Amino acid sequence: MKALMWKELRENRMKIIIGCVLLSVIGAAVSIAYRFFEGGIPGISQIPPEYMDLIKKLLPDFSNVNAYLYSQWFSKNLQQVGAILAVVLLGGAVAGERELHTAIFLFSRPVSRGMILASKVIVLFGGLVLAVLVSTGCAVLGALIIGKASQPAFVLTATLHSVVALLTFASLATLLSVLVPDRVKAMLFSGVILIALSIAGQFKSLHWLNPLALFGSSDLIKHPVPQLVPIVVGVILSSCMLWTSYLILQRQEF
Amino acid sequence: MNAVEMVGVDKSFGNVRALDDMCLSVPTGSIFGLMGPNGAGKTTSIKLMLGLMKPTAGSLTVLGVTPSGDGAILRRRIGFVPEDFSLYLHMTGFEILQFNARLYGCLVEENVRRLQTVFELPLARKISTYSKGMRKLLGLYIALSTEPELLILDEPTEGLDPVVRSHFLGVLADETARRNLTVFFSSHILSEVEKICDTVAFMRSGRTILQDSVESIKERYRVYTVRFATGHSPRDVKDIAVHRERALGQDAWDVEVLADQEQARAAFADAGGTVLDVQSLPFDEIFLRFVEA
Repeated sequence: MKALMWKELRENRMKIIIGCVLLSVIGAAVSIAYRFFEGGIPGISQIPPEYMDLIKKLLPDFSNVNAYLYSQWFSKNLQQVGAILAVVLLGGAVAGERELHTAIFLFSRPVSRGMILASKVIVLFGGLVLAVLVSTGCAVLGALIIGKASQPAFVLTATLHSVVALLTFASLATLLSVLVPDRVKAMLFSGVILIALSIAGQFKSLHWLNPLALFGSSDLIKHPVPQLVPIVVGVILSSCMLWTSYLILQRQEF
Repeated sequence: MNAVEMVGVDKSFGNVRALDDMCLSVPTGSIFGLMGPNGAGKTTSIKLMLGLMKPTAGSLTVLGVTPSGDGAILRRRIGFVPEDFSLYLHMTGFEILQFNARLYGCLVEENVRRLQTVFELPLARKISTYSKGMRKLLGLYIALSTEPELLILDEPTEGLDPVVRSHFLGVLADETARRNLTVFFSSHILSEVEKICDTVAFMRSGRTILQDSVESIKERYRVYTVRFATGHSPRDVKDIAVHRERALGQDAWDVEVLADQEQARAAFADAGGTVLDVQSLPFDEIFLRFVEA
């Protein structure tokens, strides 16, 4: 298992490092930018009052640093870039072995297919979680640099939701990586499914389909305690998709 | 006990039947050559042995065990060099050998050192810089370094120059002599099969059409020039299978059979024929006679 994990880490280290650095830079930049928005969005006072009521509903809540971090980091930049990172990391996990014809070598070694899948999932999920933790740390640090301390309970809870949501996206990418023997196609299909579900989730009757709901609602700002439903749904979905990936891999022929 | 035993194995991919009632027995400790044209089912047979595929029907045992997708214990006893040998290009030769050794849970330094005395492969270099032949050699290092009981080689010498190919075959022969290693060898190159294999099997259209020792095949396959009495022809020959017949004149035929000479002569005599001449054929010609039949 250790040898397999070492191989995965070696193969994916650049993706993980780039993901960590990119997300960290974005995280720090987003939180430092709060000093420009603290007093409200510049120029907003010039908007005629008759339009103001309408616009207010669309404007993000920048009343405090927690609200700002929620709207601009956890439910925007981390959500989007993190989802891309999850799909890129896991979409190539098994599909890459088939595409590059290394699957015959790997699957003819004296290790079970379950071990091979588990090593990939542990390393790549670990890389994804690391990127979320490091970048969120940078976002919090950025806020501290401009003299704004975010509430630890809020940061921890929002981070927990982000990790659960991104691991669910990663599990979807793992499933497609097992199903589709081409890295790019596996990543594209994962992305398309997430986007399609997000669009469908915008309609009231299909709101339950929205995968972004796994990131938790804005209630986290006022009540920074884990929201049970998105976390349980995320964990169950991830487990089901990973288990299905394992069962499919067991039956596949190389 | 046979190292590999296939009885009535079928393997289908949709409507395509890759293996059709395939039977094969690979004696333990032998060098066994599986030969056949492209698409005959050689690689499919190997993948079944490794548990990378499952047979549609029939029974298959490798080292006394039925292979399956999770047959990790069985695969620990097997070394395998695939035909299309793709490795992790970012690793060096040393790294892939160490990675493989860790998966097998064994030490490989001594075996690698022994192989290095023959081939001097640049193991410190990245695999991405290796030529096709060097990658094939590295495959042999990987397969032999873990001291397997059964070595499965799918077209192992393709892409190797004649000198390295000769060393490659020499190493296989040495390893087989050094310990009780069984080598299962698939190849298009008939000369090397003839040179190193104890037993061979000819495949065509997903089934074994002949399995015997190289010497026995060369000894028993003969072209008989036979004169038949009026009203008789090679079609009257019973008890032995006629592989090919060619009329030379009104009553004389060249008849090719795989049988002991005494048996063949008796069969021709029973069919009203008199043997005028007997000729042997080179091994590659015999192979072609079978796969083109």
